[in-house]
Amino acid sequence: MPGANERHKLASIAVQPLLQLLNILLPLGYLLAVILYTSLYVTDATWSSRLAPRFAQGLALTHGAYLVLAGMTFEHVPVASMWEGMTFVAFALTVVYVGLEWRLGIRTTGVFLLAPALVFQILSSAFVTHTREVEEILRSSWFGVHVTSALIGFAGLSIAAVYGALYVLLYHSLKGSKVGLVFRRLPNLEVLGRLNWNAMVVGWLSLTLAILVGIVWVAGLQSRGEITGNFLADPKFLSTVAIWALYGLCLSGRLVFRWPSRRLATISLVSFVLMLCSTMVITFFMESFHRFG
Amino acid sequence: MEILLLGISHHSAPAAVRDALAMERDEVAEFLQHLQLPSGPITELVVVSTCNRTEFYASVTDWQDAGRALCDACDTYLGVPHLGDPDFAYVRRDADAVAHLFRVAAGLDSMMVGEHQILGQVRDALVVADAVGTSGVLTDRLFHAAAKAGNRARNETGIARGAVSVALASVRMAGKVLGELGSQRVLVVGAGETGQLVAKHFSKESPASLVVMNRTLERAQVVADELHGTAQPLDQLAAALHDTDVVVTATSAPEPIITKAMLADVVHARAGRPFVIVDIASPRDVDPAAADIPELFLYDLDSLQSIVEQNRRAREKEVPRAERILQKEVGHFLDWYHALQVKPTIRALRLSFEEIAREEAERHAKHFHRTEREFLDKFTGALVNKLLHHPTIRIKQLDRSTGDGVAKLAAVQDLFALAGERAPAVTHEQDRGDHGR
Repeated sequence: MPGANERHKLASIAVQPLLQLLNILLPLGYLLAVILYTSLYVTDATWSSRLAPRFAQGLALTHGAYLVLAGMTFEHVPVASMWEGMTFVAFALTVVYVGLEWRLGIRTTGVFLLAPALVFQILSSAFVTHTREVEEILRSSWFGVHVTSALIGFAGLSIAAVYGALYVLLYHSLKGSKVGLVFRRLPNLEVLGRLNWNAMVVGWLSLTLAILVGIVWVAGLQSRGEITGNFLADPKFLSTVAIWALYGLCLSGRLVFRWPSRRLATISLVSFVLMLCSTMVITFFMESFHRFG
Repeated sequence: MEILLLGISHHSAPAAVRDALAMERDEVAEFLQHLQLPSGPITELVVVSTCNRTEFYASVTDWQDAGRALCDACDTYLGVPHLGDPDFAYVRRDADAVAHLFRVAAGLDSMMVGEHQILGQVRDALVVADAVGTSGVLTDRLFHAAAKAGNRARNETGIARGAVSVALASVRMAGKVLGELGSQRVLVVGAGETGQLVAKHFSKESPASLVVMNRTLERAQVVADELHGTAQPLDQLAAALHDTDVVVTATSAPEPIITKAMLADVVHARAGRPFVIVDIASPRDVDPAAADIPELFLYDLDSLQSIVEQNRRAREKEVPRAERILQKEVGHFLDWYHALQVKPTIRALRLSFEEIAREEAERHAKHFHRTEREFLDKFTGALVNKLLHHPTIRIKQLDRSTGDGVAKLAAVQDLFALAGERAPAVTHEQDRGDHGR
């Protein structure tokens, strides 16, 4: 009779082909979702307005199942590498969008959130290699909370950037008395401003949690001598704190100085571009303490 | 039996002719009563009468006689001879008449594509005819199908989207900037006709408050009472701007009464909340330079007319999609209409019964020997013949030129669900051939 560990291993082996299949199907699903939502945005056809939301809900469920299966099979929260993180961000974007659509009934902005999700999922599916052989440190629950909240923060700030961009587009359309597709399909300025603000708040709070958990966790590890080095000088840490401060400044500007939604929208867009660029540079060109995969 | 449309509209007749034939709801009812249907070649009649069209939709036995009868009725009862004048009036029959009514219901035949009132007017025409008793199975189905087609065309395409009047465009733009207008404060400056019209559109949105200002307070009070708002004298304008979210201004002042400096002050005090001004005065009431102020959305007559024009073009672009929907709906109606013939009904009824008999025989076939199954087939065939013998004779005796005959044919179709299972569609030629026999 095989033991519990053996049974788990056998079950994992059985699940792996399914994970591989889902890894191929997910980008295709995202592609189809983007096509459906593009059609909905351009034509506003009844069939696409009925089909697209259901498809997105199904996609979110499937993607959730994929992440749960991957986590159980490989015995760690599936955010241990950049490529695993990307599929998690794609999932977070989709879940947030499906939630917003269900709550506010706004169906025409799906293409703008699911298109970046598609890009993240394609990159993840192309390069991800799930493995059970990860450093022990990455099995820590501290790691799970730290990275998950960082990725939720990243997803929140991505959503803020998308709605920020849409706000700026509609603002100029309204200023110029243009009533084209942007006017007809997007929700009103007030709603876009609110979505931009809420996403920014959620993203910033998650990022705050990620930074705090990271600091406490690393401090604990250092005190026990499990890791060495000066993480305060880590470029990823420094850039994240800088981005966090920039967003914090933006939120304070709203709360203290009553900055208008247009300014917040513009800043959230610029900050997001800065965040993307700094992440790319650090990941590909600099040595960082944050390198696990 | 065939469908006849005889009518005039803004496409075919000048306003004077249309006005002469236009009838109010009560007048339509009296006119229909006057005809005392069914009489002569007309078995059913519904009249659609609006300021842009008067159209008579009839179920008739002979379209030429029916046309003459309608012209005579208009001449004698209304004293209007124009319905018989080919320069003004048009005649459509069967599929063409159906397609025309569906286009009318969708607002594709209106002056403004997608105009929303006409659908209600088409529905109302049937209600009037129904009350008087001049509608019947055919016109009833025709008008219900037209209303459904009109609804679909409006809901599934953009033919009815976008404001196509300056007043409505003002409301839409304000709503797109500020969101729900129910929580916004509206200030109307100038209580003239134009200002009042725009203010009425805003008041329909039930704003949080509506203030009317005018040079003479009495006039402001009259308009404010009508719109459930409050009145204020014009000299409080600068202060009132601070307590509002939307301003509609339409005074006859020769110079701008709202300067850029005033508005910069207001926008600054709003701490980033957008501010909307609709300036429909000519000459303008608001300094055009104010448009540069961030978070201030200024719409003057030119920009609103440009918005209306953009919407009009967008609606026209949607017409082909709407036409495709109407074409399908016309097809569905004509399927039903053509099925209302004696021969196809009998054929469809027989096919339906034979199908049931065959299915049942197959279901129980395993209980019978091969020789017994031949007997079973003969038995079910004979049973079907016996069952259908009397109904077939009765259907053959139905007179399609009467409302009763058509109603019975329709009842047979409905009772046995024959519409989707009948024999191949009958052409118009066959249709007339059947009728001739």
